Amino acid sequence: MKVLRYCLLVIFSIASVIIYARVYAYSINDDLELKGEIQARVSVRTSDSEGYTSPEIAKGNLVQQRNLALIELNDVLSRPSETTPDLKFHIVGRFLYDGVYDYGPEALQQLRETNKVAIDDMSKSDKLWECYLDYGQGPWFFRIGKQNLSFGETDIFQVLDRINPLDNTFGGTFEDLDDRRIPIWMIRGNYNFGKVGPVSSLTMEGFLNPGWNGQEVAPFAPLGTPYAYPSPPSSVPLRLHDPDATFQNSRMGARVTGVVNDTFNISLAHFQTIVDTPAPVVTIDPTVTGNVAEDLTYKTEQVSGASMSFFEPHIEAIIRTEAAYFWDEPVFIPQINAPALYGKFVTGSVPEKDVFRYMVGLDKNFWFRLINDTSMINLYLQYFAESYQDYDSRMKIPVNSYPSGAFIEQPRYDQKFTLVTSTTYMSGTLTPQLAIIWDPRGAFLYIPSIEKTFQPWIFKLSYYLMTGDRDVSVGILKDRQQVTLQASLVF
Amino acid sequence: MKNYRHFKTIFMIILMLIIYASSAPAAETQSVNKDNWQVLKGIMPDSALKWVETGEMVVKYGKLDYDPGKVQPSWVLESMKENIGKYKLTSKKAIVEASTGKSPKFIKGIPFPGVKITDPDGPDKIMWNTLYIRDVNGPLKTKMDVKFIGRKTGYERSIYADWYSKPFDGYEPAKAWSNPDNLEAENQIVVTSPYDMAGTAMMTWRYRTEKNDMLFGYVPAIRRVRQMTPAGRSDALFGSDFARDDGAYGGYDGAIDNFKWKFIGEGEVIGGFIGSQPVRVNQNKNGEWVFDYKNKDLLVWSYEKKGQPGYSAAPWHVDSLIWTKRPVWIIEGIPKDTYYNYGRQIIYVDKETNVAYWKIIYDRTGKYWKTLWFGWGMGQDETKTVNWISMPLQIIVDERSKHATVQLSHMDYKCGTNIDSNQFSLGGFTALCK
Repeated sequence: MKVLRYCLLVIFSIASVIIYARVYAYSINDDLELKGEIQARVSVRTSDSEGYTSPEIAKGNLVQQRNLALIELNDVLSRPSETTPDLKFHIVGRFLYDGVYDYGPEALQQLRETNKVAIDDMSKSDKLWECYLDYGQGPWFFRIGKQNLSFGETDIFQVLDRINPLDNTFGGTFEDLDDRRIPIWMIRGNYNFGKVGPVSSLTMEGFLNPGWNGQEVAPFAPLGTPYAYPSPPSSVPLRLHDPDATFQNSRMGARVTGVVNDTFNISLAHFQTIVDTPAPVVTIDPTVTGNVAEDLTYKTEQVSGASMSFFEPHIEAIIRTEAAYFWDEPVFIPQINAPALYGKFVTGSVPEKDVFRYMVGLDKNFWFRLINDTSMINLYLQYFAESYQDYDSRMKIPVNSYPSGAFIEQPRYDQKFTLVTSTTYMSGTLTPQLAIIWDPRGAFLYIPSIEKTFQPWIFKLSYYLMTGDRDVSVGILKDRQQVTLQASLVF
Repeated sequence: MKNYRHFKTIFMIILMLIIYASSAPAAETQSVNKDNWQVLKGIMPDSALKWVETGEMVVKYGKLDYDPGKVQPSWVLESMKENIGKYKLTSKKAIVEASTGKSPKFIKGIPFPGVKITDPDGPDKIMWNTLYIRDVNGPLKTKMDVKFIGRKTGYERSIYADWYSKPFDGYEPAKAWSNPDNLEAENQIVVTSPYDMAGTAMMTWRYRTEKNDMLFGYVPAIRRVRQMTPAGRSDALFGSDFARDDGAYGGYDGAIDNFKWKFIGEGEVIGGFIGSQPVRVNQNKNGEWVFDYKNKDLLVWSYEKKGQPGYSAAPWHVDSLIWTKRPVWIIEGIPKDTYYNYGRQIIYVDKETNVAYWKIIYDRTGKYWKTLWFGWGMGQDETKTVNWISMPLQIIVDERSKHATVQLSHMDYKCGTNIDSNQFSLGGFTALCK
């Protein structure tokens, strides 16, 4: 009954917004626009739970029933001229309800009962999602407010693109990177120097997300939720610690971009961000039951990097490259982070290592008229690699291998390949796509999908299939295979 | 008495003639449909003539109240004398000064007036003229409505976008602008609706020299400006029936050297115009010249008049266009890229205004595939001294899928605007995006 009331309230609210939007969009001011999207998504497991995944959910069960509404308001306050700046604002409200914990499998309903606050926090929210003011005059541009900012050239996995925290609680790698980005309060600006020597459009950009009022961090999926990492049962409480509210914990940085010799699109960046996946520490704490707790503390990290892209005329493709050096990244060495597991009843500490990550990618569009004679096939290939400097052979990933329970090895050199290919039919309203992630150590993730637009409706059907070694990257979630149907109404 | 009667008769006849002349409609047009389609034989491409013959299209054919050749910006008319023989083409079809062989610092109006049919570079020069006739209107801002229309389904949907362009050639005031990158022009298209596409944007830097265009895209899904390949010009634009190259005032917006161009004739063809008189342009408080397209009678769609007698049966026609005979060059273009999705193309370019009226597109096997045509709006202010050329309407029909896409850009069409070059920098482009 409660669920029904909630649904009716949501539907009524959304209907009111739509009606109001249609009236208001045509009133007062040609620049004022109200628009948005209402989305419902259903995901059904297509594999039985295995290993340490708990609670067990058999295939055929609902694992996600996510409803999202994004309501956007934009207006132009002033248009650029010799005497007036370009001034506009943008606001997005986001309303989320995942009903799987209210009417999904019994196991997930029970999970909610054991961890109501954390689950409700994850599955129900209404937030001011984005809210910023744009100011532009001449070579200057500023964007002040709650926003997203993305550096670099990569898709699917991040190299330089680590400014905004990511919400991996509702799908992780299954979801588009941009859908997982959490906007943060930031002031950002850039200055266009124009042509300087061989560099066209030389631009300096800086940003500051001040830490003195607390920081938004990547949320941690509560244990047992459909997209949390598998873990054996444990009575050790998990404690999350946000960064201290100090300026030193700000996210901030700068980059320089430009086009060299009318060919190479280059950027150099350095910034401080907050690590999305903090390394755990086992703490001896007499105030908790069992005297032991697992602490995750979000810390800052310095990143230096560069990216470059150019058009290669012989193969008629765009080559993208990116490299970044991560200074003092927290890592997990169980003997140091969790000495209590080895009989030393002392609080652990977090070791740090430098990590070098890079990507080489290729974007190519080509005709394959047997398949499609009106639109090109798009192909995006990427090779990711990472290398831990001053590698310690004891380094692990804090996920337990089944059935031994030992932590999964963190290799010194790691690599992945990604491929995304798509095309369009029916005047751009039908888009089939295939995404593949391959870890050469023995794991695959395949995501075939098809999207169809019947404006204003958009439907998308996706399938997530993992194969390979359970202890290798995407293989860790091997038992989370699912099919997802998503319906969106845009206005 | 008899003389008086004769005088009276003659006087009455003269009086009647005067009354008739003063009350006659400004533009005399006749409706050409499936009953009298032969009127247009020889002055309309065959693919379009067939539409008239079958009732798909009804044409309002006649004369305009004015000569479009004279309603052009003053610097264009001046360039038709000043630029004769001033420029030539390199082997890669780039424009250089005839006297020095160097890339010119600035080209006023159109670069190649007075082209002769015997000129081996003639067709390439005319295609350059069609690119420059867009530039001569200066920085342009407009809002586009890209309509998708099916033969059976009628109007299906629209994609709305903002268009910004800034030329560094053609437009006389551009001579004083700084152009350190030696660009011919730069442009941006930013999708504003529907919601799932809003924010998608493309920016092009086109160089004066033989360099490839620099093309950047902003895709909301990745929140980043990414360099895009300048190849793929024959790919569908936003899934429409238009290819990326099917733009500009000449029906072709790619590199001139990407095609082999050839004269296949000259003659007369009917071209579509909005209104029988020049469209009024007014200068706003920012000094921008705004086309007044508020009169809804200027653009009457056949899909809005579905089933009504006297209107085109095919839903994508604009039945209010006035079609008039114009002198044209007939140019054939064959792509050099063997993977280009089109084959042969025939373009009809006005000899006096350098705009195109029709483009007939064949596929790679030589079979007829699409027809593209334009509705032109020649703008003039109330003093009749300031002239502009607008391209508010472009329609392409895919005969195989019985589907059309219309690019309508009459809403808020502004020429001679002030657009800060910073908008076309990488930083400025990012600022346009979410």
